[in-house]
Amino acid sequence: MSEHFRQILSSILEGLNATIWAALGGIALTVVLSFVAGLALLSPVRLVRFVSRLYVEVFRGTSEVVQLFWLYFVLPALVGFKLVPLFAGILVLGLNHGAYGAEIVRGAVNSVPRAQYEGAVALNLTPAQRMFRVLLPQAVVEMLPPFNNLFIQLLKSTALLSFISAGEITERGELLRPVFGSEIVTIYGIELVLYLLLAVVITVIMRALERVGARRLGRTPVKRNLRGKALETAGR
Amino acid sequence: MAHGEWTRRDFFRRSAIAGAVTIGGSTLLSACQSTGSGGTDALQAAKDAKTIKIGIANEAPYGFADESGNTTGEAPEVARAVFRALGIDNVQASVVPFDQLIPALSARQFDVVAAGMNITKQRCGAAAFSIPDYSALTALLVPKGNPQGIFKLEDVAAKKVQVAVLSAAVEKGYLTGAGVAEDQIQTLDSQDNMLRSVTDGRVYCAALTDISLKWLAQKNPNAAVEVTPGFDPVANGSPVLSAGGFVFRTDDNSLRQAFDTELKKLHDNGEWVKIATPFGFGQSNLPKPDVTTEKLCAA
Amino acid sequence: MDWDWNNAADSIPLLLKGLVVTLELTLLGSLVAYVLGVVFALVRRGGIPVVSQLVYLFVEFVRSTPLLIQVFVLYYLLPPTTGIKMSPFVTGVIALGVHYACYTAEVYRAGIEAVPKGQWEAATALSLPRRRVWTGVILPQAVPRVLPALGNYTISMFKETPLLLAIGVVDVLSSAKAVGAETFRVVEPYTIAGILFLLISYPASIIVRRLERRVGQL
Repeated sequence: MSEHFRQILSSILEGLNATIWAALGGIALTVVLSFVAGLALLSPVRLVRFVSRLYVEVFRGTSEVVQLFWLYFVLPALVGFKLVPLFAGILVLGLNHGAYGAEIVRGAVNSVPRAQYEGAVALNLTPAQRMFRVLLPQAVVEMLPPFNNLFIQLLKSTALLSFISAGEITERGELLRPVFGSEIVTIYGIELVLYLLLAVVITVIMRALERVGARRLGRTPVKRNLRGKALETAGR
Repeated sequence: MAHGEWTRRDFFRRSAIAGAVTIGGSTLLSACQSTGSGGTDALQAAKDAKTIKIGIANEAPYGFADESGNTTGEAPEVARAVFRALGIDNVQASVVPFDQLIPALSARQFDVVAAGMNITKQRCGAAAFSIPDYSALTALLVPKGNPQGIFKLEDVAAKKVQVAVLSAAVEKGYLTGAGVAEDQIQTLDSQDNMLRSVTDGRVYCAALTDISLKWLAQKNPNAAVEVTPGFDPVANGSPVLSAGGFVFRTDDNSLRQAFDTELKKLHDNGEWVKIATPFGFGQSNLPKPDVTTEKLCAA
Repeated sequence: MDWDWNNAADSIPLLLKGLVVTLELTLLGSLVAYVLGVVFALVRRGGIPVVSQLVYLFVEFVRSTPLLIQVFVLYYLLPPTTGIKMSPFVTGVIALGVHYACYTAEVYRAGIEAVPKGQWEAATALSLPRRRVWTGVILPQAVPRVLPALGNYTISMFKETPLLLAIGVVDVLSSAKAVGAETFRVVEPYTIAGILFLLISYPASIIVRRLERRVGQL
C-alpha cells in the first residue's frame, strides 16, 4: 500500500514544477498588468481609460476556462503559431487576474486620503511625482490583502491548466486515475494538501510584504486573522 | 520619512517591474520561437533533432502511460519501431483527451497521433491518415452477468438503456446508426471515465473496441464488469468497414509517406504482430489487404 | 481571417442549449450557496464547541483549494466509497453551492458586523425580543449591504461553471467542444461561447455595480 503511495506521490510531485511556474509566471504578469491597467484607468486621457476599461471588462466578463480554450485552440488556428501549453496557461492566468488586479489598484489609489492628493498638488509636484511618490506607496499597502486573495485565486486557477495538458498537479493526478483506480482518496488528498501548502506560502509572503510596507509608511501593521481579515483598524 | 527611503523603494519597485517586463518579453519570444510555424518540414526537423512528438489519449492498450509513467501501448510502440528505422530514436508523447487529438495535431502540439484512431471520412477531411494499421471489432462493457442480456448495439436501442461513448470516437455514430436515441448516450472524455460510469451505475454499458474493453476488464479485476463478444457494427444493413491508423497533418506528406513505407514493412515481415501481441492484438487484427485508407476516407 | 459564418450560424442553437444549462447551474448553485452560507455563518457565530471549529476549518479548506478538485472528489470519490452517486449536473450544483457558500458565509458575517454596535445596544435597551432584534433592526441594515457581494459571487459562479465539462456536464463550453469535435473547426464555437458569456455577465455586473452604489448611500 505504501509502495503505491510513494508512486502516486512522486508522480503528482512531477507536476509541482509546472504548477509553481504557472503560479509565479501568472502572478508576475498579473502584477504588471494590474498596475499598467489600474493606473491607466485613472488616467486623465479618455482613450487610455477606454482601452483599459475594455481590457478589464472583457477579461473579467468571460470565463477563464473559455479564455484558456480560446488561447490554446483558436489562436493557433487564426494566426498560425502555437503556444506551449504552460505558456498559454501563464498568459491566460495573467490576463484574467490582471483585469481583477487593475480594479484593486484603482480602488486602492482612490482610497488614499484626499488630503494626500491635495497636499501633493499644493507642493507643486508633477502628476507623475504625485502618483509615484505620494499616492502609490500608500496605496500599495492597502492593495496587499486583496492581492493576497487574488494570488490564491490564481493558484487555484492553475488547476484549470489541466484542460490544456500543461503537466501540472491536477493533470498528473488525473493521469493516475486509470492506473491507481482504487486509490482516489490518496490521489486527491495529496493534490489538496499541496494546494493548501502553496496557498499558505503565498499568504506568508504577502503578510511579510505588508509588514515591510506598513513599517515604511510609519504605521504599525494591522493585526490580521488567518484569513487576512483586519482585527483592528490600521494604526497610524 | 527621509527622501532617500522613497527613492530606494521606488527604485526597487521600478527595477522589479522593468526586470519582469524584460524577462517576460524574452520568454514570450522564446516560447513563440520554439513552436515554429508552418514551413519547416516535420520529417526533416524530427530527423535533425532525432526526436518526434506524438499524441496519445491515455487509452489502453492503444497508447497510454503505465504504472511507471512510461508511454507504451500498441501505437506508440509500433511508432517507435517505425521511427527508429527512420533514424529518429526519441519519441516524446503528449497526453491529451481523445477528442483533442486532431485539434492539437493541427495546432502543432505534436506531429503524429499514435492513439489507435479509426479512419473515417470526417476525420480525413481534417487530417491525413497512414495506411491502415489494425482492425478491431466493437464490443460493449457490461456489468458482470449482463443482467439485461445486451450483446449488440440493436439491443441497446431495444432495451432503452444508457450507454457511454468516448467523445469524438466512432462508436457514437455506430449507436445512432443502430437506432439508439441521443438521450441514451452519455459522451465521456476518457476510457477510465467510461469504466467508472459502468461500475458506478451511471450507465448500463460502454461501447468501445473489444481490444480496449478486454484490456480494461483485465486490468481491473475487482471491477464487476465483463466484455461482450466483439462484433462488426452494422450500418444501413451492411457491416461497417473499419480500420485504425496513425494521423498526420495534411501537409506533412513526406513524414506520412516515410512512415507508411516503414509501417508496411513491419506489417509484412511479422514484426508488427510481435510488437502488438503484448497489448492484446493478434494476427486477426492486421488490416485486410483490400481495406485501404482511400476507401475508408471515401466511405 | 479564417471565419466561417455558416459554421457559426449552425453552432449557435447547440450553444444556446448549453447556455440554458449553464444558467440553470448558476441559479441553483447560487441558491444553495446563499442558504448554506447562512448556515455556516450562524454556526460559526454560534460558538458551538466542536462544530464551530470544524465549520471554520472546512470553510478555510474549501476556499484555499481548487474548485475543480472538489468537483472531482464529489463525482469520483463518493460513488465507490459511499455509494452515493449524483448526475454530473447535480454534482455541479452541489460543488458550486458548497464552494461559494464558504464565500457567502464570510459576506454575511461582514454584513452583520458592519451594523453599528449601537444598534444592538439600543435594541437591548428597548427590550426587544431576540427575533425582533434580528428581523426588525439588524437584518434590514445588513441585507442590503451584502446584496452586491452576493451578486458578484453569482456572476463569478456563472463564469466558473465551464470547468464542470470535466465531469460531463453539457454546458456552453462543452457544447462548443462537441461542435469543434464534429466539424474540426474550433474558431467559431469557442469565440461565440466567449461572446455569450460576455453578453450575460457584463450587463449583470453593471446591475450589481448600480446596486452597490445605491446601497452605499444607505
